Amino acid sequence: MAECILEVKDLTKRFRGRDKKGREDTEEQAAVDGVSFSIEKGECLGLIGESGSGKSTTAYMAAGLLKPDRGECLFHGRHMQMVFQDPMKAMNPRKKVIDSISEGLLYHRNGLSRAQIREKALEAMDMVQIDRSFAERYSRELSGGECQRATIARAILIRPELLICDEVTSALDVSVQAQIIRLLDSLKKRLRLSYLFISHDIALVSSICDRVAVMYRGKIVEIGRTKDVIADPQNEYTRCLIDSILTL
Amino acid sequence: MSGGKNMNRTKKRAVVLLVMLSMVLVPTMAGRFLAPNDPYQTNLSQALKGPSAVYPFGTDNLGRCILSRILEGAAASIFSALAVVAVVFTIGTLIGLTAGYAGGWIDQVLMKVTMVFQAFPSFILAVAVAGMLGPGLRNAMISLAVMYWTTYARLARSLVIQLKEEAYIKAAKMCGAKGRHIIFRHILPNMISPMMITAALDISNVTLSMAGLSFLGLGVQAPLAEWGLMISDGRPYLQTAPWCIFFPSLALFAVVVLFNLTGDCLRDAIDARGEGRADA
Repeated sequence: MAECILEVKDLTKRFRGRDKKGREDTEEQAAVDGVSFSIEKGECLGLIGESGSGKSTTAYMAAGLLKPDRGECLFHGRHMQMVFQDPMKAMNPRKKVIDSISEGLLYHRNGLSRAQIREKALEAMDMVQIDRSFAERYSRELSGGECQRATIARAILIRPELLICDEVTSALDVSVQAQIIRLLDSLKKRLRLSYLFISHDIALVSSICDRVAVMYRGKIVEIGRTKDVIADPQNEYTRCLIDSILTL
Repeated sequence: MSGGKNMNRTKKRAVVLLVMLSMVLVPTMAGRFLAPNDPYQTNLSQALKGPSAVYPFGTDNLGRCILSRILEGAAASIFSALAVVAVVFTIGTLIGLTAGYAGGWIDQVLMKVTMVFQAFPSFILAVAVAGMLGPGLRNAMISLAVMYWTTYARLARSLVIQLKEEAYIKAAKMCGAKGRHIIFRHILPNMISPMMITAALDISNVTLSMAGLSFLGLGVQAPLAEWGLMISDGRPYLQTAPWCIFFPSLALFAVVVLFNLTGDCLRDAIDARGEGRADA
């Protein structure tokens, strides 16, 4: 078996609901309930499921942005990065694009000068195929697709081994979605990236992911090679999910 | 861009207002040099005289030149209000930022304190504090700060809580940003616009409150010139020498309206850039 980049063991997160009067509910809802999986180096694992199934919560815990109630995430690399759903919200509206992209190197500079960081940020912009002329603009002056490319540039700036993509295409036009997926796929090969790719769109996931995990109500109900899962789903819910695209 | 035309109109309005504001502010800053007479020179033989060439706005009950006193009093009326707004802006932002960013029990304690201050009718609170501290300009400013800081603390807190959840803050955390980076790089720059709008609109409120305190005898003390005090002093002569009240009131009115219009204009300008949506 190849080397693991991320191991997630028995991850659990509960949120307290609130009743009608706004009091905290005594009963806790498990958003993520005992989720375990691992991602190998260079592999792309898709995590699919409907809204509220706990995909994003899992992603946040894997990224370390949220503390799990139980379980652990073991990351065997130096850097991981995350790309978010809505690119416009993932860019500080008061910063120029180049400053947002440079952010990855701003906090641990490793002795780089400002000019060197800027040059690296511009190179990252080349890699995600946005024109260098966008550097001095603000995120609101960019289209959704351009903005998402910029957030990907920020994510790859520090050369992470793992990229967590949380519904990266769902805020974009259909035509742009395909471009972003192609870009992520090419970056995967160029930078030997591993992905945790979260989406509710099984068709999109099947085009980029090696393996896929299906989440339902906080649990992983099925996990396996993408083509196996799609061709021969073992779980009732997975079957539902796949049928729903075929009927469209 | 459809907003272009509106933006130009806003810009024109801003220029007109700034010119008007400077027409009021510059003479008041240079008040004591422009004043035609000594604002403190009493002359009982000239008491309560109507507007004339020597005394353009007339004289008060002690024969002092009202125009000179208005110019002299502008510093107390306007600049004390500006200073109060600057102080409450800073204190309120610091407290709101701490409460909103730290959350938990710190937030609970700070917001309970804010609520205690807000539990009193605000001007009554200012009057009470000024009464306890004793009259005087400095004490009046302190009491107004006590009255006004809660607005800023609450606004800052709600903005921070809202901004804290933004995806770009999560992205910054992924890049290794520490608390201070997040606050200074991401949160403060994004909350400053709505805070500035509130501050700009508050200048006129504070000016009025300051005049109100002086009117009640809790602010600036005689014989110092201050508009609220001048209005108060002129009351007995409303029927016989209306200029004693009319001109200081007019000055107060003009300044309050100008500051309000400027604040509105600032809000429109910021809204047009799509940054002022975070009203709270």
